[in-house]
Amino acid sequence: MTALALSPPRLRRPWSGIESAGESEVTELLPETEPERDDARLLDALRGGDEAAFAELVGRYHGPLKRFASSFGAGDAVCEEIVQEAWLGALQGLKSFEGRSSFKSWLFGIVKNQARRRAERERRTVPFSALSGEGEDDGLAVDPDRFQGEDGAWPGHWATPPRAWEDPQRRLASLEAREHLRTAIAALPERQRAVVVLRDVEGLGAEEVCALLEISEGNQRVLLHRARAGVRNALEGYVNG
Amino acid sequence: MEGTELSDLVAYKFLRPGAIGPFSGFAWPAPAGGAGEWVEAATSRGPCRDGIHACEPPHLARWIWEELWEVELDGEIERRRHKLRAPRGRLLRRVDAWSAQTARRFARDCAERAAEHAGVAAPADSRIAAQMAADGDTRARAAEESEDPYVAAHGSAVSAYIAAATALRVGGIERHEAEREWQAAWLARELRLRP
Amino acid sequence: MAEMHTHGTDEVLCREFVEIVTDYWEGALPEERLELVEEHLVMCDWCKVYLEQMEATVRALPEATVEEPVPEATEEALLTAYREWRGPS
Repeated sequence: MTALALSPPRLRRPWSGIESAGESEVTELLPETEPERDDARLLDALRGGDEAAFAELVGRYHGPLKRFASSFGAGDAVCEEIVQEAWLGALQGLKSFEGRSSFKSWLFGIVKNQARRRAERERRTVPFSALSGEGEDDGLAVDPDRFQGEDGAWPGHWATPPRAWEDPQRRLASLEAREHLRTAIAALPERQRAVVVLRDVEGLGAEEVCALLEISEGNQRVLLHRARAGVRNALEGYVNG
Repeated sequence: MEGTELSDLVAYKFLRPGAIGPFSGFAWPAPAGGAGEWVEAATSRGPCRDGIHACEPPHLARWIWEELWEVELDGEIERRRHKLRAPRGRLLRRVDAWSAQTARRFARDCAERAAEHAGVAAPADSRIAAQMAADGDTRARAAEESEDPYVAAHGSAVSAYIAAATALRVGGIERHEAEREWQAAWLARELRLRP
Repeated sequence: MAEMHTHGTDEVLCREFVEIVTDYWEGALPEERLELVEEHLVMCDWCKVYLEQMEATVRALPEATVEEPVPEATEEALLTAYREWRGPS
């Protein structure tokens, strides 16, 4: 008996909501635009002198910006300083922000520049692209032993297929699952982590991430995929465990 | 690609129950009385960014789901590898002959084809080919024993795949293609498809 | 004949599919390959499961962070800077 002979697992029906370039409309995986509209409202208030609006934006983005800063290889205290400087830079530059990119991605860009300036000042040159890149772009999404070898009836097909997760949305929303998610992200190689955090946690677009990290689209996709697959593998152990 | 001369062909599309696009989740406007509403690709209401997809009888066995519909395509029709692509399309009518029951019969017949291919395997291949055919039989049986239309439809898709793969294993690409042609002929005959 | 089996056609196999899920979602697959991927998905329930699990993972990721409050000193410094930037109101 091989995997191809097994009866099908329980699938979502109708099987939909999954984006593909060929058959689907807009991605459902894109983050909602609600926060962006809200950013615009806060920006207007901030420009009008509303201190609470500034405090709210700081509260919203300080954490994400710090996590992003840390992907340039600096320690916690330095990141805190980098992001503080970035906020000051943002205030100075606010007049020139025309809303061509999202406010969020504009902020990330300022942090990137601050991190770079800081590194130059300290004569550490750590461009993102040089960060411990060793081997991060190779490797496989799934353990090759889970597929049949050339001597089987179905080479390249699943030998040990994934077990379906019951009600994944609900299961992955539990506090315990979130803890596993965080652990899984923390365990990723640095470059993969930086990409997946910007894309899937912070919700930036592919182009924005390529520009921020100065990597090619192809490289971005590879890192993103390895990261997602790594997190899925970790969750698989948790959900099935 | 051969452009407009394709305009008169009859195209088909497999969908999930309720005329739902399997990959897009798009709910196709079902015909009421006449044909269904036209659906445009690449609009906010359309299901696909790059075109409306359908296929011709020779490739039906590769795209099996629970419902089969006859569709009309319009505009520049392109013949892709195993499918057609056009800027506009609409459902004409459901092919009622494609049912869970038909799917179970197709699954069974494909499983028997796999067994026939395995029966003529060279000694070096016979063990593996027998395993492949046995898998086909298991899937056909699962389809036959289940009330579930998905299990029937999917079982027939897998069974057809297994027959084609067994043919490939035993007799190479020519035998594989011949098997796919046999499957297409089965569907065209049993479903009384317009050529 | 062993080399002949699945290599006779250029179908996408499960082993490859799991490597190109993100390319598939991002519209980065050449058209021909996209078609082969969808053809594979029609017949392979296990890859559908894998795809659903990857999707569930991506959907869960935004929930993965715990926001720590902005350090008081930082907030204080930034609000002071903001007041200076705003000028006397």
